[in-house]
Amino acid sequence: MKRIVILGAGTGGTMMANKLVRALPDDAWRVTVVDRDDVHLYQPGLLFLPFGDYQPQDIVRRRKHLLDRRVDLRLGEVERVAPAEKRVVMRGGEALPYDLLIVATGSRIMPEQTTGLTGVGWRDTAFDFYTLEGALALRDKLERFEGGRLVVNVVEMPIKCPVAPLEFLFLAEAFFTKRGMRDKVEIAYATPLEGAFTKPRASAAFGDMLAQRRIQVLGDFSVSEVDGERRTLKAYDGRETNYDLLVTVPTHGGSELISRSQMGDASGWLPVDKHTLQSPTLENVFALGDATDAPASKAGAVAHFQSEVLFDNILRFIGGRPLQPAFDGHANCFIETGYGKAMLIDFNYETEPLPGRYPLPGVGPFTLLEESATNHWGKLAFRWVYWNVLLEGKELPLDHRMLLAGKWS
Amino acid sequence: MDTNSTAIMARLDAIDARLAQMAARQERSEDLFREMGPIIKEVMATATTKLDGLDKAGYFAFGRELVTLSERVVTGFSPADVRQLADAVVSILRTVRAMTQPRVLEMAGQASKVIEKADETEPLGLIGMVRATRDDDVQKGMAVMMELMRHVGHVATAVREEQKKDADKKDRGAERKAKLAAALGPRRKGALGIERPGAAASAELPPPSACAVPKSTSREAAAVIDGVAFTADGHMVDPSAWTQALAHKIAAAESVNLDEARMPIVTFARADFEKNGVSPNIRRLTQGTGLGTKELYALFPKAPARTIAKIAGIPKPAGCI
Repeated sequence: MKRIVILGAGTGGTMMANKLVRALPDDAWRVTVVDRDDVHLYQPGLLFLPFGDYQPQDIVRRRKHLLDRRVDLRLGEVERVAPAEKRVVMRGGEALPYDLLIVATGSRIMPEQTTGLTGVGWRDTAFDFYTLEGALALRDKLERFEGGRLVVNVVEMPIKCPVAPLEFLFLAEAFFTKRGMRDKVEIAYATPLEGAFTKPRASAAFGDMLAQRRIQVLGDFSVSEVDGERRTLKAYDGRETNYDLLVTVPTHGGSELISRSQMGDASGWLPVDKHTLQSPTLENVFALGDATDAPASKAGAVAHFQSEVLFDNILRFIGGRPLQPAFDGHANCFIETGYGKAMLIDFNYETEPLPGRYPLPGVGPFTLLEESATNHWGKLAFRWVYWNVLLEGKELPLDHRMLLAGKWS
Repeated sequence: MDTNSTAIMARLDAIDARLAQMAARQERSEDLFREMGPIIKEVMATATTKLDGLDKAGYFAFGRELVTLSERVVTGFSPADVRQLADAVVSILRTVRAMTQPRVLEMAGQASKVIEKADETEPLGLIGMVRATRDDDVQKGMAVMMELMRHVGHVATAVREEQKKDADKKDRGAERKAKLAAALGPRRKGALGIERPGAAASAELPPPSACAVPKSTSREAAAVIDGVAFTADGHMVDPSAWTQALAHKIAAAESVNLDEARMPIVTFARADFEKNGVSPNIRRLTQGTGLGTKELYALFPKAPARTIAKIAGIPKPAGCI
């Protein structure tokens, strides 16, 4: 009996487990998934939580119920991976031998890496919305918020879902407007990038979108320190900005177990070939999703498109055939812009987001790099697709490659 | 077994039969989904190719323009205008038919040729004109023109008389208009649900957003300095065209002294870009060079990651949008 061990039962790990357990013969392969808990979080939903549009129970399911019954789910903390011995060592000593390892450990936020961020005012005047606790605490804060200066901040790239801070800004602006208190709130965006939009086409199309919504942009703002006492955000170049409410996207890193196993780079990302998703040093180790160091976006759509390539490559690896360098960095995501509308972007390693229609050229129904209500409905309907189609490992009628069809260049 | 339990057993049997039926049906639909999955994917792929062909050929852009066009018609004309147009459509079509008869078209074509060559013809004085009337073709042309003028005069008279008659009927006409207005309801500004601006405003209708697409792409050259192409934001278009000498020039333009403390950082940034295809951000730069963020800011005070990328001849560190 051969064994596949998958680390992590998030988006990538769940999809891979369900796909593989159905494709491989039961009597020859056993698929084991390890995760520390039984709570699967629909992460895109975290964006809506602070504004009361979603409730926690809407975005949480048991991992067990999302996995095929034939998948062996182990709950517990992984101590380390021992690639030389081809086994995963659990905390407590149990060892899980593997013939093939898939790392799908995702990413985590590390607010403690920013001086002062988790000190005075953490989850009182300074919040994250990348965790369930953070998003809920922020919801309660927004409920009581009576006005003042809101600063949304990205500490440094890369972050999960790079458009989430923008979406948060748009939704917050619409939230305050709807409550009739927009005039009492000052909104600012402090980003380490040059500005809110950095790609030429998007900048040209939306450069003034934040100004129109009276959102101030502080570009090239690399946070050096948070002073919770004085409610001040400090940048390395000496600039400072005050806040009454700070919503920050903290520094991201890979899983600690990757660092403990000395398999990751300095930030804990697992090196992979960015086209085959195989480890360059360990031929029986593969990875997908946020956990890798591939220069693709850290987003569920990427994990989904990668899962199709990785599934094919794992079957090739098992069959002794050469791997396909098929992953092109394809990502797409809806960008909520508030007031019942959203944008959609579709891009890859090489091609910046272009305007057009998706998935059907000329028809859509989704509009690329253009606001529309259809996109917003798509984003809302996606939750059902996520639970019932995507995680099940079923085929979505979308190409895993980014196509130029339907895009206007 | 008493009657009670017999009844329960019978009921259980019925439920069992129904469950079996449901299971079979569920299996069939599961089967269908399995079967349909790849088919739908193939249909999507084919549709994508076909529709892309139409898109590239401009059908959809044309369609969007049609919408704009009809929007202008809707905002520029009232429903009453359109109704009048409908009444006149037969005579318009008749005119179009008359004007598109082969002989008329032939004549129009010839005439336009003459107009095209207008600048080649010599100026003509009064005496020249008299001389020209000796030409047979000119005489024929004059006859046709006279006939045409007679006709125009006749039509003008007829129109005047028609107007006179209309004026007599004015009272009755007003009555009819009032009746019509009552039947159609009040004429609203937002007829057909669309606010109708004045003629001047409708002429300034903005182009549809779909057409207002900027034509620049990320790696498009905005300036060429000493034979090296730069993007609008000041980064080299082609990283492989980079040389050390060029780096010093760019650094000077950025007010940075590219000394032995700074050069290794630039070299690392280039190497990291070549390896990953992505320009390094501050964290990667600190990890790769062993310098702290504060030290990087001391060496490159203004947006170090971006300045270093400029000097290294690689694209600016960017987000996904």
